[in-house]
Amino acid sequence: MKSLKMVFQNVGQWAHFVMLCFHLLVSHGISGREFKKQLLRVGIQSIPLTCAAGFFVGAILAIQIDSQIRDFGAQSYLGGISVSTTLRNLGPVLIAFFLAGRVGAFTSAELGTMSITDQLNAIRCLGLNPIREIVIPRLLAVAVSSIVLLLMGLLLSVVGGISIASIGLKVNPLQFIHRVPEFLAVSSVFLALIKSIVFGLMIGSVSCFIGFHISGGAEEVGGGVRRTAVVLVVGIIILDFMISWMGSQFVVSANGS
Amino acid sequence: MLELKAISKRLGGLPILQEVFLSVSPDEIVFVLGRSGVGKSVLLKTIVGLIPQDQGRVFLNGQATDCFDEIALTNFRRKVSLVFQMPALLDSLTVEENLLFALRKPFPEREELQKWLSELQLDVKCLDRMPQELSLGVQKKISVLRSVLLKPQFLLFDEPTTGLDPVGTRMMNDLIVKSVRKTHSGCLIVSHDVQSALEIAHKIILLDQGRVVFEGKPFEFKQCQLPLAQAFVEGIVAQ
Repeated sequence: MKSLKMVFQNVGQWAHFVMLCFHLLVSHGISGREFKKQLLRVGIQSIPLTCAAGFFVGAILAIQIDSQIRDFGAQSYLGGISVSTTLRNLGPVLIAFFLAGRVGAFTSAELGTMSITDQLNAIRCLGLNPIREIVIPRLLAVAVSSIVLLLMGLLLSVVGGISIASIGLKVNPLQFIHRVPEFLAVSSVFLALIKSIVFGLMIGSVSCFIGFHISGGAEEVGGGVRRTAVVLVVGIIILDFMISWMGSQFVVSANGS
Repeated sequence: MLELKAISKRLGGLPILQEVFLSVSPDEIVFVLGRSGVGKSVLLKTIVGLIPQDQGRVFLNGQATDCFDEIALTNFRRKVSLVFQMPALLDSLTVEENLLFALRKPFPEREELQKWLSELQLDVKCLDRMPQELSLGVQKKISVLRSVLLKPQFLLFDEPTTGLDPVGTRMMNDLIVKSVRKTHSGCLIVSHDVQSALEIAHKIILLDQGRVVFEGKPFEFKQCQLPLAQAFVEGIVAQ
C-alpha cells in the first residue's frame, strides 16, 4: 500500500515537472544553442547503433516468423506478417528499450552528476533557472531524437527483414514486399508513429525528471540510472499495451461502423 | 549592505546555525572562520536561498529576501553570487562558454576575457578547453571569474583556497582582492584558512557551535583570548 502510494506520488511529481517544463518552454522559450548541442550528442551520435539495432530486430523477427509459417507452406506471407508485427508491436518496443538504455540512462546520469557536483546549484546562484537552461534543451533533444531514431530504427527493421529473407531464407525481396500491403494497414503505420512519439516523450521526460532530482553522491547517481532504466522499461511495456489496446478498439469500432 | 539577522537553522534535528547576525558592506571583505562542520556552507546556502532558514531574515540593501518570489530570487542571486567550494563548472561546455553562460548580451569582448585571464596568469588557450582538462586551481579561478563577470554587489565564497597549494592560495586571495576593488562589491568568505583571513579580511567572524563567538578586525582576532580563536592562530604559528 505504501509503495503504491509512493508510485502515485512519483507519477504526480513527474506530471508536475513536465507541466513546469512546458510552462517555462512556452513563457521563456528554449536555449537554441544548448538544444542543438544536445541534439548532436544524444541524437546524431545514436544513429548508427539505432539503425543497427533496428536492422537486427527486423532480421530476428523475420527468422522467427519464417520458422513458424514455413511448415504450412505460407512463406509467401513472410513479408506481410513480419513487417506488420515489427511496425505494430515489437519494433517500437525493442528500439525504445535500446534508446532507454542508451539515451535515457545517459541523460539521467549526466543530470544526476550535475546535481551532486553542485553544477545545478551553481546555475541557480548565477541567477538562472536550471530547468530552463539545462533540463528543457535536454528533454526536448532526447524526445525529438528518440522519436526520429525510433522511426529510423523501424525503417531499418523493414530493411533487415527484407535482407535476411532474401539472403538467409531464400525469399524473393519483391515477393516479400508484394505481400506487405495486405497485412499492413494505414492504422498500423499510424500506431507505430503514435508509439514512437509517446515513447520518445516518455524517455525524455522520465530521464530528465529522475536525473534532475538525484542528490547525494555517486551511489545515488547509480541508483538513479537504474531507476530510470527500470521505470522506462516498465513504462514502455504499459504504454505499449495501452496504445495497442486502444488501437485495436479503434479498428474494431471503425470496422463495425 | 548585506545583512543577516538572527538566522537559525536545524538539520536532522541538530541546531546548525543559532541566531547568527552579520553584515557585509560594499568594498568590504568579511571572513567567517570555523571548524569543519560548524555550518559555514549552510550559512552561505541560506543567504542565497538554496536552503531555507528556520528563523531570522536576510536583507539586501534593507529589503528582506524571504518575501521574494521566484523572479525576485533569481534577480537577487545575480546581485549576490555564490562561488562554490568545488568549481562546479558545467562540464559539457568549454571554459569560454562557461564564462559567458550567465551573461546577458552583449557579451564581453574576447579581449576583455583575455585581459582577465592574463591577470589570473592563465593561458588564453584555456578558453577553448573543457573544464575537466584543467587543474583544480585553474577551475577554481574560472569559477570565480564566472561570478565576477556578472558584476554582483556581493560575492560569497565557500572555502576558496581549499585544495590549493600556497602559490595558488596567494593567487586566489589576490583575485578576490582585485575583484572587490574593481567591482566595489562586498565579499563574504567562509573558510578555515585563517592565514588568508589575517592577510586580506577587513573583518573576521568566528563561528562555534552555530553561534558567532567573535567579530572584529584581524589584529583583534590575533589577540582574542577565546580558546578556539587561539587554536586557529596557533595553527598558523605551528605551520
